Amino acid sequence: MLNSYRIRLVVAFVLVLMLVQLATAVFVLDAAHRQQMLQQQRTLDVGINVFREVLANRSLQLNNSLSVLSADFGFKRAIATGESDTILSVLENHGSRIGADAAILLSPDGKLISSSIAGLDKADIDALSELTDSMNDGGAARILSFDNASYQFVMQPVKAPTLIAWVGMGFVMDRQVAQQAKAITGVEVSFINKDSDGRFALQSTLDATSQSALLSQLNRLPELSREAAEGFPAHYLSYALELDGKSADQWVVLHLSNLKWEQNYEHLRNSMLSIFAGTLALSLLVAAWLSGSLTRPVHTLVEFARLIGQGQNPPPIKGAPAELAVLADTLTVMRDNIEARERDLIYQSTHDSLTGLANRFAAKRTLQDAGDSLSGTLVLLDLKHFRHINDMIGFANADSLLVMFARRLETITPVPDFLARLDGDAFLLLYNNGITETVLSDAIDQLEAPFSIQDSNISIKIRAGMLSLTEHGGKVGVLLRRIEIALMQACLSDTRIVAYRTGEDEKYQRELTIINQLERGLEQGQFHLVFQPKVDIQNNLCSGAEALIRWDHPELGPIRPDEFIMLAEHTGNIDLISQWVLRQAMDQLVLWEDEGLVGLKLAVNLSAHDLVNESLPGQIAEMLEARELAPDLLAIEVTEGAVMKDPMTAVSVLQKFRDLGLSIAIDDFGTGHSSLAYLKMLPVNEVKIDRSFIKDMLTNTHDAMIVETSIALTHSLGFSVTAEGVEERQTIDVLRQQGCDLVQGYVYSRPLAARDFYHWYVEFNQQGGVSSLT
Amino acid sequence: MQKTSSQKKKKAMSKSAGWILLTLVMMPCFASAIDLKLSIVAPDALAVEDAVVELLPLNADAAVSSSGQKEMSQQDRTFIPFVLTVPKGTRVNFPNLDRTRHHVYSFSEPKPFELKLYVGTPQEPVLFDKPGIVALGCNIHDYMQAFIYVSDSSHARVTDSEGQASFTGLPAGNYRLRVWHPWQNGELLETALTLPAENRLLKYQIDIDRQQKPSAPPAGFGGL
Repeated sequence: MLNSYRIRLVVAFVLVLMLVQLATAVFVLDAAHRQQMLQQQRTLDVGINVFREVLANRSLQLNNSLSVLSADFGFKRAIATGESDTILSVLENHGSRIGADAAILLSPDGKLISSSIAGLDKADIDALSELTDSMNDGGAARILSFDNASYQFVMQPVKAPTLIAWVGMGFVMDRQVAQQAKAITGVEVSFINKDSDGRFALQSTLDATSQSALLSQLNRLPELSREAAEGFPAHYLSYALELDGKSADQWVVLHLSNLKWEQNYEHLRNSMLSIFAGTLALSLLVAAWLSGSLTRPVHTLVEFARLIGQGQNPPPIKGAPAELAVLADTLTVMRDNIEARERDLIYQSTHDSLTGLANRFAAKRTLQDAGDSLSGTLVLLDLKHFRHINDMIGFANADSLLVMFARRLETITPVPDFLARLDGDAFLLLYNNGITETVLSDAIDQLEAPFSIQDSNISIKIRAGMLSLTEHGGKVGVLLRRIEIALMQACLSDTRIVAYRTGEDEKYQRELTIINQLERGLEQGQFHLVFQPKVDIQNNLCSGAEALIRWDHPELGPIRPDEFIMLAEHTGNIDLISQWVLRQAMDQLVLWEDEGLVGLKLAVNLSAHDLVNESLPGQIAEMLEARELAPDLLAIEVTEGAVMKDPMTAVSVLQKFRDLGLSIAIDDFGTGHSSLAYLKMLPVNEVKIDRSFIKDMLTNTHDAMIVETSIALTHSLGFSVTAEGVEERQTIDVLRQQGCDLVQGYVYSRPLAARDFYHWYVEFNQQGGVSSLT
Repeated sequence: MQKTSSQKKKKAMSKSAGWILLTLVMMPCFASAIDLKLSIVAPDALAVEDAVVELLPLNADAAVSSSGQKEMSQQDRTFIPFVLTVPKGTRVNFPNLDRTRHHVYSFSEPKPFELKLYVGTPQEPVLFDKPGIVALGCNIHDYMQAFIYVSDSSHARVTDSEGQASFTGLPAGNYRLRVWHPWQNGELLETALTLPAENRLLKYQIDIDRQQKPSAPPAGFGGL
């Protein structure tokens, strides 16, 4: 929390305040200290001046006393005797009268006559003699040092009536004098004397402790004589005066007690400290309160943002400062936007964008969420041949159709409890209470009613897979797979409704794989063409070949063509295969032409679906044109059954192929249900007799007869005849005798890859078709 | 007050020696008795009053003794005269003309004496039998001061207000001339002089600290 806004505010506030207070305290205390010092200094200055005055007055008094003494007749008379003993005793006697501590007598010309102090040297006498010179004005004094003591010396002339001598009296500056000076000046007084041996003598009014403190720092004296200073001794402001200007050995130090103002100072400092502490405490409170009021909205906003972050919808902040209100509003708007976007995303992720129904994801989740409580019946609907509808009416209309279909789904009876569009034209319905096949069929009837799209009615067929959830529970993936199997079965068997039955899984798993992976397999080149020669047995030359499709599935291995073609036909994907085969076959023709294999007629198989695709002839024409191939090199083979599914359309499409110049062959002739009458109507060039007749014709006379008849009949209609599935040489001879034109079968070759076919073809035609016969 | 410093004295002596000027004035010449006038001036060329001029004959008969009397009276608390010359052996009376008593004393070496509080003239005059200078004072009037110059010879005079002293009937011969003044700087002046001299007026210069002659201050306690 140390980095919180509030703590920072408080800390900053208090720091600034402390700084200001500290600065104030420092300045005030400093100013007070200086002011006090100044005042003390002034007081001490007064003391110093008074002390000087005291000293001067004393000298005047002493002079006066001495002048009276020196005028004493007896004194003069004793001096006049010139007897040293007399003189000494009169000096002592009269000196004691005025309380002198020392007395000396000098001759008028400054020679020492007598002295009460022993051991005066010339310097002392000269100093005294000098003093006489300044006596003219009525007397001066000098502080002289004798025997480690300071004396205030005064001199007066002895006149009788002319000058006969100078008398000098000295008064020692002792503690008593200091006390007197203290009484007058009001400051402590210390006399300090240093003799020639460097010994110090102290006469002071200070207490003993202070005196010893003083003696320990006498070296400070010169400094103190320049400026008053503290600490000499402690708690005093002291100033030193030289008692005698001629020598630095005698001092008086005046001490002014600092105690009072030190107490004042301490009092001031303590007051300031308490104010400081008080203000600090107060400022802490104020700062806390202030920062609280400042940060409370922020905290509110933080809480607000936190709730929004958790996806909640907190009530709007009231009374927040404008900036924070804006921020809060922005957050609210942001949350609303996010919610809206989230709703959109969720909607988009669970709904089909076209029809607005639930999508596969949502369907899976709904089933998953229902879990064990899931019951009733699942129905999967598929619009039969929706791809073709798509091609016919265009994508936009097909989409409209899907939407309309979806709307109709929502209104059928009974109404499904859940509805989803899984993909394309697959719709999933859930009836929680189950539904019977009969009821479902009625519902499908409602759905199959024609749709009106752009003023034309579109009819659809619906196939449905059913799955009873009460019988077949399980995971969602399994449920969906099973119902898809059921639907698939419905499609394959062309039954309206197929209910899932247990055990169909594995079979249809393979079919599903084939159906689902067909398109990708085409794209990824898993398919290839093989070619089976068609030999003109009359001329013993190979004149054509049939292109057959092969699929090598990476997992399932080779898949039989009739398996995947049937599945593709049922699921409406057969046109993909046909288109692929057509392109591959034409590309191969081009390759062979380049290699010199010219004039080979290549046949491809088309399904019934291709025969109702009226745009196919145009597409083939474009493909041929793009490759600059002659149309008569391409042959179309269709089964009898394919033609019979929608004979009218098939005939018109076939006619278009004919018009293009393509050859057309009827495959598997004899297996369909059609009558021979149809052959007459069909625009074909060739009829291929089914292998089932050819296979046993050597042994089965019926078959041999059918073949012979078919050949004759076909020839009579003007078509050429091809026999399929010939496996024995004798059969060729028979067929040749019967007038069959072409033979196809293992007797010549199994279907070969393009390269192998090329070699086979070249070899066969060079050798006249004989040696290659097996 | 007088300058008493030895240094200053020495200085003044050399100064005065340098400044001795002898001015000879043409005078009529007499066979046996010679009149002589001496003029004493200070370096400022002003006349010096109260200077003692003594001529000391170098002849055998120089030692003259006097038995005369002189007076040093006190009037208005002042000694009159300020300077008195007497030949040695002279008795001096100290008549008190004031109504107050005086206590005249001297501690000078030639004649210490004391005339204790008296009124009128003491009964016995004081005999000054030794040559020298005697400083007089009054014990009860410190400001009173006078000097008696006790001379060896009888030829001693005190200069008047013109600074002049006159001698008459001096025999010719060699003399020693001494000049002294109470305010004199240095020792008294001594010089040789031969009479008759070419000039009858001789002028000498001495160095003195001019002072007020002692006189009584106004009565009361205001003054000294």
